[in-house]
Amino acid sequence: MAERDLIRQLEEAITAMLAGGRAPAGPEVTELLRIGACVRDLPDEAFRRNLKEKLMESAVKERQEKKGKWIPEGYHTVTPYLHPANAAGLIDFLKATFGAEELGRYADPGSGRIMHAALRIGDSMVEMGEPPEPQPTSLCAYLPDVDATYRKALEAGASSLYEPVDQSYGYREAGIKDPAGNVWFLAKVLKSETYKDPGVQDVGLYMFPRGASAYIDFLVKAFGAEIIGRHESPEGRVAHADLKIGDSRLFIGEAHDQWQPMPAGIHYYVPDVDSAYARAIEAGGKPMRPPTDQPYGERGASVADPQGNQWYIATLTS
Amino acid sequence: MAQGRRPATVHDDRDERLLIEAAKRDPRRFAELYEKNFELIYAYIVARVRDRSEAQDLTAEVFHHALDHLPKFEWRGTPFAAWLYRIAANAIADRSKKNAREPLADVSEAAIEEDFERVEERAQVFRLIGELPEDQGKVLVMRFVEEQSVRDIAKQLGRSEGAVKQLQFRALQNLRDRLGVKPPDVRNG
Repeated sequence: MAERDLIRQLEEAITAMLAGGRAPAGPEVTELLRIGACVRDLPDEAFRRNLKEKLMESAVKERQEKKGKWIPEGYHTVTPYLHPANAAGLIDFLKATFGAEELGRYADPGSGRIMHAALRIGDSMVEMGEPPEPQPTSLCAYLPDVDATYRKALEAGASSLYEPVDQSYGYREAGIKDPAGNVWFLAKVLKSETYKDPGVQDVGLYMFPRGASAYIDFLVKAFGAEIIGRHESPEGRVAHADLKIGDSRLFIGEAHDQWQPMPAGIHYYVPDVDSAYARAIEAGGKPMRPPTDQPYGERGASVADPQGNQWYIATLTS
Repeated sequence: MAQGRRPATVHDDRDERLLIEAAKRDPRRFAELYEKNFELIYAYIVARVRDRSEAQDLTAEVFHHALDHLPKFEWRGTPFAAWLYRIAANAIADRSKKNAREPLADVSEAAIEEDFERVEERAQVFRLIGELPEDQGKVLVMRFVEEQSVRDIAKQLGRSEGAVKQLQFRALQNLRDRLGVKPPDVRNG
């Protein structure tokens, strides 16, 4: 049979098959039609991909259970990592102001420089290290008594940004700058039996990015942030956003007036460093250090986000 | 070039066994078992349930079950796919029972065996579509999956209806050749 007749016969057979019937066809066309019938059941590519992703999520969870702990005792997903010029001085300040408990400090034996220190404030952790170039950041602390803490902070060497005041959005707040230059918002929820909102840790980061909306999109893509709340000003800028990453909260407001970007260090614990690192890079994060096993029992990687914040992605390995 | 069915070799067995052992130690390695078997299991299920969304639900159920129960899987020389078929057959039977309707499939061992070749060919077609020249693969999807008419496809692709008919003919011939199926003697066609 000539090829053009085969092509015509095949088309008639396909049309009949799709309509639920049959058209007469020779052996070659019948064979091709049988293969075509298989194509009708072709699986959806998006389904194939999504199922793999879901299976991998379960696999990672299962691995964590097998492996045991991936985050140190007392830590949350996100921990502020401060970069003061004088860590010892900042530790003293945090002890005097917030009653911080020092869990450890590791100094370089040669220079005496504090490489790493960890403190507990309420239910939260704060870490720090003295880098070659100190970099203050902005944080918020929820407290039962804003006024008392504000007074203690000033006594311990902080400067006042604003005195305690009842805000229209339902918080009593004060602002201070600690001796290392970090900005702290001291806050307490008004008209509530507790001093903070449910699920919020005592100490967290409050960021003032330029282009907050795009930055929030980045955090969603890169770190799986969930938007808990978002309030916009009449002009449409992000006045305050409350994001959840793992079990931690991150607060964001568009940079304005005296509240300008102060890039932070963030210790970010995850079950799987390699996939978290890959995800952050794919979302537009800048690679700083690829995943590496560290001698202190962690696997870690570093990424700089578009606002210059440095994320130290980590998981416990022993 | 024929890339169709080929008999399993000792190497395949060993590789699969190593892969299963690796996935038992680190469940993330299950991804490789998934890649290797997805088309087979989907082909097996879709031939029985005839409904895309139900086939997807059941396929997801089979792979989640397999991942959860992988630590209990014991290598006895049969391919990993056979274990997955068994899970799929049970899942289909359970769903029929739950929906209080006629069994969708004969889930006896014999029926699974008998069906294996046809399922494998269908799975092979699924895999090979992605290896066809782009325009051929596209026309097959538009014609057979989306069930568009030749006229609509021609309009969208900016080609003549004759060209689209020829393209679908070439695409199916190409699939047939890649499957390793010999064309019948055209003089008798």
